[in-house]
Amino acid sequence: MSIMRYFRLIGMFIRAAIQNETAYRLNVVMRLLGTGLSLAGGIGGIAILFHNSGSVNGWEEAETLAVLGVYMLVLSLNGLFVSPSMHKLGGMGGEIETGTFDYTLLRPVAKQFYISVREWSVWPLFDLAVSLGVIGVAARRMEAELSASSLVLFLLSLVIALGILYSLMLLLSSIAFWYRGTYVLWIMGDLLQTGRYPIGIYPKPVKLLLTWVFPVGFIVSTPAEVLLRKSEPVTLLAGLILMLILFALSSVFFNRSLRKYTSASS
Amino acid sequence: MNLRGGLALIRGQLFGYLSEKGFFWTLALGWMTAPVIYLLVWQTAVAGGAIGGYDRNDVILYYLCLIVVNQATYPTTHWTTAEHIHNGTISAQLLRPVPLIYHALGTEFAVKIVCLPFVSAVVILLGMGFKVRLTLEAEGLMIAAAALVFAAVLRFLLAYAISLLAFWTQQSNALLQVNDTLVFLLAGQVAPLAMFPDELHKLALLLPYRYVVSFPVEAALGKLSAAEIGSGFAISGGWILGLALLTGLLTGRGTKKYTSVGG
Repeated sequence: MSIMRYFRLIGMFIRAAIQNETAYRLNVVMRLLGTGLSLAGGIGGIAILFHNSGSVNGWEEAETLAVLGVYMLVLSLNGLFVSPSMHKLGGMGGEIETGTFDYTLLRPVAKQFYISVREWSVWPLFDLAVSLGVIGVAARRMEAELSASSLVLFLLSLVIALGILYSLMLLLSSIAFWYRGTYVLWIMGDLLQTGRYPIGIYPKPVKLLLTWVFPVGFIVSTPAEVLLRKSEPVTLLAGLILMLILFALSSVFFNRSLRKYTSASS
Repeated sequence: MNLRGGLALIRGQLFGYLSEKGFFWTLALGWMTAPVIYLLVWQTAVAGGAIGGYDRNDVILYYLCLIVVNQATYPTTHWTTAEHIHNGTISAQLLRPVPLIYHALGTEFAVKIVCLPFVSAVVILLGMGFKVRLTLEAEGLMIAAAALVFAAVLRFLLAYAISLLAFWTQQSNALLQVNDTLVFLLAGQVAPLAMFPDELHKLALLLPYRYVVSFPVEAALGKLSAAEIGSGFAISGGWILGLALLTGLLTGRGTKKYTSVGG
């Protein structure tokens, strides 16, 4: 199967998503409103926090704003296809639960590719645009100069972040093959919210937890730190190694879990 | 009104949900994350001194209280109701000889009965972990309990009315998300309302959102004067009345308009 065929398939999935979602016009307007409101909420929360205190645990307002921007960026990229695809697989009412995974297994394409990219959502594009704006504003307030090399490093850290996030989500949705009724995928979004603020703000034990157990640190903080030039090259390297390990682990686990699947219906 | 039918629905769903405790406890843990994040952020922020009348102990108590109140008032059925209208599966509920709202109410009660003991236990453990100081007054607790009932009814009606809009728009989940965001912002989750700038604080007092979470919490912490308590109940009572009428109207008109194909 040629590479081109994979890209054509992705194009088709995206077209189908657009057709599906633009059918409900009021919903579109409400989505825009929702993006605006969550932006207002994010910025408002930070404004209230720093309105009352100059700096929190050594973090300034503009830096915190940059972290919020990166958080929104990573989340919107995740929401474009990783999260919708994973929820379709192992989420509530997903294919493993309902037994419609039969049809997926029968499709003549690579399984892991298909379940990872088949479901798209167009709304995160709004969030994506907004998050870039937030990052821009924050960078301006800090009078940070964005050089080509720091942008390249930032992109690299984003790829690492998304790779880690994807692997974690694949691991969690594969659990549904073994034990039906644990919707661990659902609380993933809730746990990710810890990335809204620099993890340096949290008490020490929580910070350690967020770096090594549930690596929000690598998913949100590291890209933000690269942007703010606060990071050390070692962190980026550690993130890269973690991503490779997690990706290999989750792929093996997913493919092993496939054998566990017994159809729920005919 | 078919009360026996309603009770039977609650009983049936309660047994169903009890058998899936693990699932709901996972969800409840997820719902707890956001308040815990804000607890951690704010207790760091007030380390230098009290803000808006809240010191570190107050902030921790406030958010621990908020976790319980949030769980007790958070409705879950608006998502499913909107979904059922969207894909036509609500037909089965419409055929039963009980009012449509009973199905939602049955689920609400069942989910709350399943989740609350778990959440309360976690909150008590967190409180012990933070070594929080707690003084309780019987009067304040009774006012808070009454405010909690108002809050649960108001929050349910608000979300349920929006989900019924799906009868006209087919999809109402984006509006439901907007509603949830407003609750997050204006009900005292992102920060206690007392820390808000003045103008925004005044606006928040008039909107329904303060009364779905923040009001019972403030009452429990003893932060309110008698006059503030009185006006709070008056405003939330007004919203409940208005939304109850709206819900009745929407159910009547919506079910008449509803059509579905297939079985």
